[in-house]
Amino acid sequence: MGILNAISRLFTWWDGQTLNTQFFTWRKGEKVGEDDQGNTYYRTADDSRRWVIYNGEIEGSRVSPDWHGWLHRTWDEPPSDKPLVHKSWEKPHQENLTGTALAYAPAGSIRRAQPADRSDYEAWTPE
Amino acid sequence: MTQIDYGRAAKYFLLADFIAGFKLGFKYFFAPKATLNYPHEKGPLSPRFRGEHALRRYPNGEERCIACKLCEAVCPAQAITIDAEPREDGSRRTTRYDIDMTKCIYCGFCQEACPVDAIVEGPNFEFSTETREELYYDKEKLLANGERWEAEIARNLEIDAPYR
Repeated sequence: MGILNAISRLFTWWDGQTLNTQFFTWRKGEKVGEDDQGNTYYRTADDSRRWVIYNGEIEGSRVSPDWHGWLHRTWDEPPSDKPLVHKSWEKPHQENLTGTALAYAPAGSIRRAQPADRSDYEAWTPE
Repeated sequence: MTQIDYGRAAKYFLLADFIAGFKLGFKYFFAPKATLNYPHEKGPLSPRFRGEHALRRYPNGEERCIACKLCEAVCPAQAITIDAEPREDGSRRTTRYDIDMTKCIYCGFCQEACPVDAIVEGPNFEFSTETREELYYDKEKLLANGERWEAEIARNLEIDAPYR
């Protein structure tokens, strides 16, 4: 942990949890489980608060469907106790990729290598 | 000769208004906070929550949508566009299923109208984008949403079933 790291911990919040969140987790956090991306899930002893400490980038959409419902209080049993039923054709969770090169682009988008040919009119060609 | 209100003068010189203001400020400074530490902590969601759309599949992997176009008809914002054709094996399927998420008002009529529970509004609401075109969802994107969120969608439907 270099000096630059320490400074970035003090002044940024997008690469790791802030010092106050880390302190709160240390003081009140009761570890519930961990998902396949390495995000760790915590709750208070009375279960009045549930939260996640991200492994890497702080990005809300990185919470996978397994833990999403528990974190949002849709149900109370964490998936470590009552795992969700997964089907063979399911794809792994993906965070919101907007702003990256991998972001979704519809067929006619010019960000595609070969955008689908779409026009509202037929161009006139001279004979 | 005007009368001097000594009570008011005393309050003025002893900064009573400042003290009352600080008292109110500190009351809320020490009170429990109403805010959430997003994105670490998130607000409660109902199993009926209507978020990002997804096209579901049957447990064997076959897509549910049969192109009946009821969702297209019921959509009050006319955000859904469907083209249909019989597939090689003769079953009726969509060749095109577009939802313009910028038109969608998240009323949930499409999932109520669907006879085969194909189109659903899933629990995800963190799908904001940087460009407008990323919200013009096509069939591929909607099926991919279904494949990524199926576990939670199925659990939510199961939790909500006794109330329907």
